[in-house]
Amino acid sequence: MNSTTAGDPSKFQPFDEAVRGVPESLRNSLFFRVATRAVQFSCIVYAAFLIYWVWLAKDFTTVLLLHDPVFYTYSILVTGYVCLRFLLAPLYRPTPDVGYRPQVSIVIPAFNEEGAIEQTIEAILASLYPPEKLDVVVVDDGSTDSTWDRMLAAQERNPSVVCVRFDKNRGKRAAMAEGIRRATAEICAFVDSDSVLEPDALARIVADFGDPRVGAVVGHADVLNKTSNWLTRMQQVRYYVAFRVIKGSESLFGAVTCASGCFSAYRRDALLAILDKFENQHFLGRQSTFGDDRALTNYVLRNWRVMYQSRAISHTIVPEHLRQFGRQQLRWKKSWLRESIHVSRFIWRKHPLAAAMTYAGVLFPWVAPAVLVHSLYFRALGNGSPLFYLMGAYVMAVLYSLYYAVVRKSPLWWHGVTFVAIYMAFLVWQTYYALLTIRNTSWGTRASTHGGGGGVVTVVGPAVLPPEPLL
Amino acid sequence: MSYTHRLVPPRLRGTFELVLGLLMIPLSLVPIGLYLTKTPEGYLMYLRGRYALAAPATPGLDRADRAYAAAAFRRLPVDGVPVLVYHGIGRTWETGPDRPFVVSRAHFAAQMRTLQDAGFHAIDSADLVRFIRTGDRSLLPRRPVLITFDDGRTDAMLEATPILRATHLSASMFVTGADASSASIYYANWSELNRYADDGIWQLENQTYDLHRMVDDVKGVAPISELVRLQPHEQLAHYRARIAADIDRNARAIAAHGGGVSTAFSYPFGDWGQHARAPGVVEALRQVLRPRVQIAFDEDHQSGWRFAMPGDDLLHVHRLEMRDWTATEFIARLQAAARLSQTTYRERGLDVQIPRSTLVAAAVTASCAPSSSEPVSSVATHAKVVAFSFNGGLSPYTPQILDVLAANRAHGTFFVLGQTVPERSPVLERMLASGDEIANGMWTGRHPAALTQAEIELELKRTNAEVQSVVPFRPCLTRPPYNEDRARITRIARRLDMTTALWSIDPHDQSLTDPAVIARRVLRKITPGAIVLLHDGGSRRWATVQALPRILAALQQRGYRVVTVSELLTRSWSTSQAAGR
Repeated sequence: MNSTTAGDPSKFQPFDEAVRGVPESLRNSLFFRVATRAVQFSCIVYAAFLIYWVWLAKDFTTVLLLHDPVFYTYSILVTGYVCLRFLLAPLYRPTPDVGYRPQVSIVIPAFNEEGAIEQTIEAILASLYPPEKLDVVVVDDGSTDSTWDRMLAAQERNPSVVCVRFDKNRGKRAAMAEGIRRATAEICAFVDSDSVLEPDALARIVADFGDPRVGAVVGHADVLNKTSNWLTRMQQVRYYVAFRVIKGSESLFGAVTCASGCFSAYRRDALLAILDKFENQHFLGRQSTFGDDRALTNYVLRNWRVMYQSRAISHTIVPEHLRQFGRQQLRWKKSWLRESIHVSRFIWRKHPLAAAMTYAGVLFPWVAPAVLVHSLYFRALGNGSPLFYLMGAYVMAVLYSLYYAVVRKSPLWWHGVTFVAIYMAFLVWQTYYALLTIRNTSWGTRASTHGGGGGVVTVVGPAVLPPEPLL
Repeated sequence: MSYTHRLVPPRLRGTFELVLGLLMIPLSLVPIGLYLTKTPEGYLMYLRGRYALAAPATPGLDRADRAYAAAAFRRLPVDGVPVLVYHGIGRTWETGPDRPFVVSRAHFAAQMRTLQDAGFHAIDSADLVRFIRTGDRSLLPRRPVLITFDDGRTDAMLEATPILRATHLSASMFVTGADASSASIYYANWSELNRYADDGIWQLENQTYDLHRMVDDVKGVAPISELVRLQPHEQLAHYRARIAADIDRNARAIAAHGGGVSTAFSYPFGDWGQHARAPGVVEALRQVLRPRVQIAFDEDHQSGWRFAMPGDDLLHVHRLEMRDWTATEFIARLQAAARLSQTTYRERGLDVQIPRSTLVAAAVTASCAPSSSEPVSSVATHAKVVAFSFNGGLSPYTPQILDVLAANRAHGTFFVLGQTVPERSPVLERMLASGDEIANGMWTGRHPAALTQAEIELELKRTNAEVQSVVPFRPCLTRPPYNEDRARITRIARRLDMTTALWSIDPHDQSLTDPAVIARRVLRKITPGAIVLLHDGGSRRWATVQALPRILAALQQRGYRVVTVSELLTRSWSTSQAAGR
């Protein structure tokens, strides 16, 4: 996940949506528990009702298949794809924590994060993890504000922290790579500067590395500022489904295609082998800047298993303004475009279902805008009406949201409908826009992204090690 | 953007969020609910879902309506087969004067319950065809009904199926193949039709594959049904081929989807060519349909609608357009039609069934005039014997005249127009059985001067053939229409072994409305051996029907015997033979 600084994580406190609106005195009462179950059950009945209608509508689509083969093949495939994801997701079981505690280095790339950086470092060090097995590498990517001073202040309080500074901005990838080289531990974990870890998140995320085939693990990300406004509420629902369902189903095959930057951990061996490629990734003649998380995952995924750990929870700050959100999504789209090509080259070697899901996920966003136009415009002028399609989309959106309602018992659930609406009205079209502007690699939020290699590197820390030789 | 932050005090934000989240569970159902109940396509989805779970109950009639329905046809016979046509079945608010083709579900159920309580049993098109062809009532239930639906609409199939099942009725669905193949939710698709056809309630029939369209092709001219529209510069031959291909295609599609062989056809929009712009379309369409379908339905004569019965043109069987009627309104409509049908039934001689053996016996004893090369207009005799001949039939008056003749122990000779026979063939049987004479009035009764020799011969032969197809009797008399071209017709008739019989007394009854005048004119001129000309067809003949009893009574009083023309001629022949000997 690309970091987009939208606020100071220290301003927010993670909370449980399910009980937020309930007086403290009631939270443990029998009444509250029964009421929660009752609402949960009614949501399940509601979902069953919707699925029944979708099942009936299927009767049409089989006939329509002959009538409009392209459109209905798409709709059947998409339905199959979504159903597959949602059916596989419940099979996901997080790897239990059996007390495996390897040495972990936490790498934090920072750029102009004076407000949050101290908090982030302190929060990580306060984790429930043996202190002797935990070290932190903070890389200041040539910040122009007082980030470096804040880092040093934190380092003074916690001498185990390694602080690295570039004298000029070299980009997030360079900062990450530098951090990885400075890290000494078996496991390298990345935390975005706008994310907060749950105290047990570190202990949870290393559990999967007990399997020597695992090269990377991604934690679960919740939205920290989830009640700021409708946009962040909507993103909370979206994040939850994206992690729980998409990454959860991919994790069954050890083939998670994006270990989000919010909170992820890699085996250092896996990283060192591809670090150079990662740092100098070029696409269409340009140095790749954003989408570092997805790029790194795909490099590792080629030869290793990549897992999702639902119990390793981080809380991250998401954009609160539409413009900001749009820029973030565009960046993601671009990196998705680049990485779809990358992942398509080798994913077929993985489990066929994982490959099928990935290829479907690569294909559908391209077809979706055309289908949308076809449904809304051509159907409207033709025999049917677009209402059927719109209602179908609405029902799917409600089902999507009900999933959140049932699993999370959260009153935020209905913002999932908003997300689908935004997706259909706005994000679907971004694929083509991203393609057109793919060579524009400016970050959109950061003042500067990369200033080229070289330059002076300042290191402050307990054991100042020379950088690893390039492999 | 952050509405809760602005409107709700901070300490209540969580509670607000919770209440809103709970409220959104029912609220998010509202668009779905509106779609399923308020939009036409959504309502069809709702019906599919609802009826797939459990068939809805079909309401029964209340006690008064049941009693009324049960009594409605107790004394009123159902002569013939009522054929009803529905299109759509909808909700009450979807019906109304501006939507004549939608019957509400409640009223459809009431109508079906009425049929059930009145003792009607559904038949299918094949049964009706057999009845019309053979006239055999014994093949039908006592009160038959044929329920048809046009257009293959989804709403009709969804709503009607459970109601038909509950009332033990069945129906024919006229399917338009293109609509069934289309993506439209408003028309039942082939897989649904297949299912419906399999459960025994529905019979799938033909309504063209892709001609069920109104085409607005000429500006300023009313739209035209595609079935009867010639394409620009299209020849009738090409038109026939095009229509035939379309109808065959639909028949194949129906057969391929479990509908079996479709016997019936429905004219889209009831247009069999009456609104066609080009001449010849009507006949061309008939030529296409005749070998392809056994029966074709239209919606002609709504106000004078009556039941289908033998004698009807199989390519023009009229159906009653069903409206959003209550049980009472429906019964009233059916009763009116039943009375009308009773009359027509009698007029066509269908009320009397004559066994074939009786006909054969009657044919053996029927006398036939000795052939004569000269036209005969009267017979010279001293015996008080006269013959009455009737021109212009068969008609609705013919059975009435037969009644009058039988009541007076008199016999008549009917110069039947061949073209009137198919509609009223049982009347011929009655004529033969009652000892009246069937004579050849030519096929059309057109002015013979306008006909070629071959045409005259064809008309005579065709009429004989038509008569012989009904009764085991070959007419031996004929008569030139309007007494024109007598010599030529006599010559041709002679070649066909027929005698030309003219008349000696013509009261011009066809232009008179006063029975007394007709009677007076006949009785004044009557002499032994006379042949009287009267008309049983061609116009309204009630004056003749009323004059005839008076004439016969008067003749009886004077000691006259009224015999057939053949008998009269035979008598003169034997008299002259006797004289010559």
